[in-house]
Amino acid sequence: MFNLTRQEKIVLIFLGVTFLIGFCLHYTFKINPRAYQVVHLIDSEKVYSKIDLNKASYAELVRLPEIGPAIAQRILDYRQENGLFADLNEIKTIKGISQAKYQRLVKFLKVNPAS
Amino acid sequence: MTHRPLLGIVLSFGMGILFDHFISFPFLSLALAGCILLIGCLFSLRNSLSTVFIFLSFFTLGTLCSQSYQKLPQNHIYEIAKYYKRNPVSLKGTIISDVQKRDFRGRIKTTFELQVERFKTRWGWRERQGKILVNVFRDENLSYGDSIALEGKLYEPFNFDSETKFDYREYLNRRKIKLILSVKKDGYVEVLDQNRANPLKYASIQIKNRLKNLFALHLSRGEAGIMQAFILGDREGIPKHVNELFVKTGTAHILAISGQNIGIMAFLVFLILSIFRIPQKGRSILTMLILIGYAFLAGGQAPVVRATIMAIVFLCGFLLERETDLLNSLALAALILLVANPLSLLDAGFQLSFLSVFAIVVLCPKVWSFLEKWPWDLSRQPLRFFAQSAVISSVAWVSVVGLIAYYFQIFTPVSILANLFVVPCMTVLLALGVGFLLFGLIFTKIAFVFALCIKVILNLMVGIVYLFAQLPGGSFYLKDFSVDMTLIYYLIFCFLVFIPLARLTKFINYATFNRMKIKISIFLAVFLIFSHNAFAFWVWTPETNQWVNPKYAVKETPKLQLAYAMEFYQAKDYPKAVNEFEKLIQHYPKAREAAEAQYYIGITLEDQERLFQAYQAYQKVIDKYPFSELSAKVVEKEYKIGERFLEGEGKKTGLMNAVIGGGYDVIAVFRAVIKNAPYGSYAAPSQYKIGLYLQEKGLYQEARDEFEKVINDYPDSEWVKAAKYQIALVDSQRSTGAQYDQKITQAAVDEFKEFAQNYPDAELSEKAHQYISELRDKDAENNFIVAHFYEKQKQYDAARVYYNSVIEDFPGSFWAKKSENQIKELDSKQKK
Repeated sequence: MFNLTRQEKIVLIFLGVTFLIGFCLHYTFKINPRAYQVVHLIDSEKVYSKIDLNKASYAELVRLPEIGPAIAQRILDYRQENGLFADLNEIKTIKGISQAKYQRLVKFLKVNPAS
Repeated sequence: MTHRPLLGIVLSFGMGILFDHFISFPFLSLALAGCILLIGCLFSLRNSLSTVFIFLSFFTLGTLCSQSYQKLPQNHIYEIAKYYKRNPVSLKGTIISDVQKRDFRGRIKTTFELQVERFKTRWGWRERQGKILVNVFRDENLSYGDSIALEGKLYEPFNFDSETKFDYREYLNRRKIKLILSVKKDGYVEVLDQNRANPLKYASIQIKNRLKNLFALHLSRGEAGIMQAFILGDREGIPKHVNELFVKTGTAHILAISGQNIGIMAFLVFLILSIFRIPQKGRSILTMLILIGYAFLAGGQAPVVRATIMAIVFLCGFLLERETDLLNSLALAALILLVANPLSLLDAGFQLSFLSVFAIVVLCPKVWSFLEKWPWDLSRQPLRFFAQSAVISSVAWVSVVGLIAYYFQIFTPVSILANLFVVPCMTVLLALGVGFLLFGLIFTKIAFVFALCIKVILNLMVGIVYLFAQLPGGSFYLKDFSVDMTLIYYLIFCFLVFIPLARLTKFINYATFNRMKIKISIFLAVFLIFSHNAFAFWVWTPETNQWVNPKYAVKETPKLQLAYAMEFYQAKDYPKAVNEFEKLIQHYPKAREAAEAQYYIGITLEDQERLFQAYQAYQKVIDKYPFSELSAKVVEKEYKIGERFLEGEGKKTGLMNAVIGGGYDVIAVFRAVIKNAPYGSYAAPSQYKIGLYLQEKGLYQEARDEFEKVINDYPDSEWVKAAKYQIALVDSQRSTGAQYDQKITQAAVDEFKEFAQNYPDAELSEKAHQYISELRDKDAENNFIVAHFYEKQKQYDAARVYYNSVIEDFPGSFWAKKSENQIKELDSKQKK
């Protein structure tokens, strides 16, 4: 009556482990909300591959979500005319980069003046 | 050797499709060739030649299938759209896809596919067909199956990504979508009717949306997006930065539904059904049906359909108690997909999916047997599992790395290592995802347990991928990885597939090496002597973080490349200028500057007096970039080339004319002008000038037809007057030809009279009067000649009638006076 096949045993073990981990996580996140923030990587800025604005090539710039060929070209032109970016805010002086766009873009960029 | 007929058939069929992609061949000739080949098969059934005939037949069938798939019906919306560019158009049709709400610059955009039924032309509503993509720039409450009327602007898809080989226009074209309709945020959209949906598709969309909502309820936005891609095949929600991480580590394949998903799904379904004690055959059939439903739910993408067909073939083998061959079932899956849509052969997803599975099936056993010969013991379980995973991961990576380099311009050696960690995570996530959906749909309250486990493992997996993406040398952006490079890579790959690795092992031993070392030294010496002029194949440039192929290198941006090419043009180094413009088009085909480069190729050729080639280059601007701002300039340039041809420039020499035939470049050029801008200012004069050219060639009837087109097609044009005059002139020229026809002469006279009457002030009217008198004179002369002929034949009465008609019809003319003299002579003759 209680004979289980190998596959059935695997499924039940899997379900048991899932429930065990699930309840533990539920408990942990309730008593310690900071633990939730540690796990929460995908929607945070921790896993953004930031590119250096002073080193980025045209190809790298156009791969960014908010930058098209025209803005990428303007960034390169700006770098050629004015030297390296000292601060990330400087990018706002480039035509086509509004405050709203800057806010969306900033998580993909970094500036290393020494580069 | 295993019997694999389907493999040969699908290869021939695929080659046929590729043949059609690169070489256009008339459909009827191909159909005829197909018939002949099939008849050849019938007559050679008993000998081995029939196999060749069969493969050739499938090659032809592939070409035919591709051609018939791409042929648009005459009333397709694409045929008419070009006349309405930049103008709003009104359409009626039915929504045939799920309606998606996407984020667009902080606002919501409603996107769906529309089957067009009616189109509002200048002459009212007309029946039209074809599929288009619609973007409504607001949150619009629409659903699959709605019949709607809407107004917006039609345009051809743009290509957004200028760096990779991904071609958005081609991607939509493969789905038979050639146009996008853009409806403004305050644009007109009205639902006319509802419930015109296919019930099966409607149900699958409803289930899919419910499952999506379930993910959205328990997971964050990004997490839900990734899980939707894993389980439902919907990649829209994957955060871009996460997608980029997976691309950089060569693990992006797990963000799509693959054979692994289908395998796990089949396993779970089989298991659940066994709990209900359903007999084995019943379980197999039910599993097949559920897998088909799942493939439908996942939107029928190539990897899903491929995996589903393979699973079904496997289950059928199970039902019939026959062993199935993986390569045959893979070939069957490919054949079904290619017959349904031959263009899917050109799809990166299709190529990557089939190639990786093919390589895994063919290469893995060979690699494994090769590894087993080494001293370490691979039979122990944890080591065996990791070794097998590493082999599969490496083989899959090696098989697709050429295509990835070509399509995505990236080389990811870190992929082998990353996959070892990511694939097990994905397997667990899939099982958790299916459990989450089952529990979520039935026992909603405990779904959070699965959701929390998914959250932790998913974030862990992304964290691992992020770490791999940070590894120096983990991935390189390649530039200029061309088609020929890809082909060379796969030639080497095929060489390895077809040469058993065991033989290779035998070859690599000390004794063999010792025997061959002199030969190898000579080869290396010769190679080094002749290699001093060779380019480095790729050069690493730290500034750009890219490997660059110097032979094909272009400037970093299309703008710089255009400026570089222009320098050569201005220095009048035309061949180099053309070369650099071509490079721009080749490397940045989707950039705005590409159209400009194509235009400048035309100008460069025109400057070199290569007029017909210049026309061909200009025409490419229209053909490749039909919505380019340069279109008007191109039409003007083409018209001017046509005029230069008409004036006698660019003529082929007698010998060339004899060898390559025809001097009909003029007609081709003017016809192109008319086709490119049928309502433009150059259409009527072009039509007129085709007539002039034919008139000059002495093809009077053809010239008359062309002039008539000016009058009929452009009745309000200033060229109508000239066309009418030319028609009269053509008729007069016909009448003065060797085969005189009085009716034509009379028609010409009438036409000149009408012209002079309608346009009395025109400069040509005076000439018309002159022609009238000349024609009348000609007519009189002709009658006189007839009379004279009868006189010579001594038929005096008949001669008298004709002489009298000349005197009566053309009084006062030279021929009337001559006729009077002749009558007098006749009188005297008859008296005698």
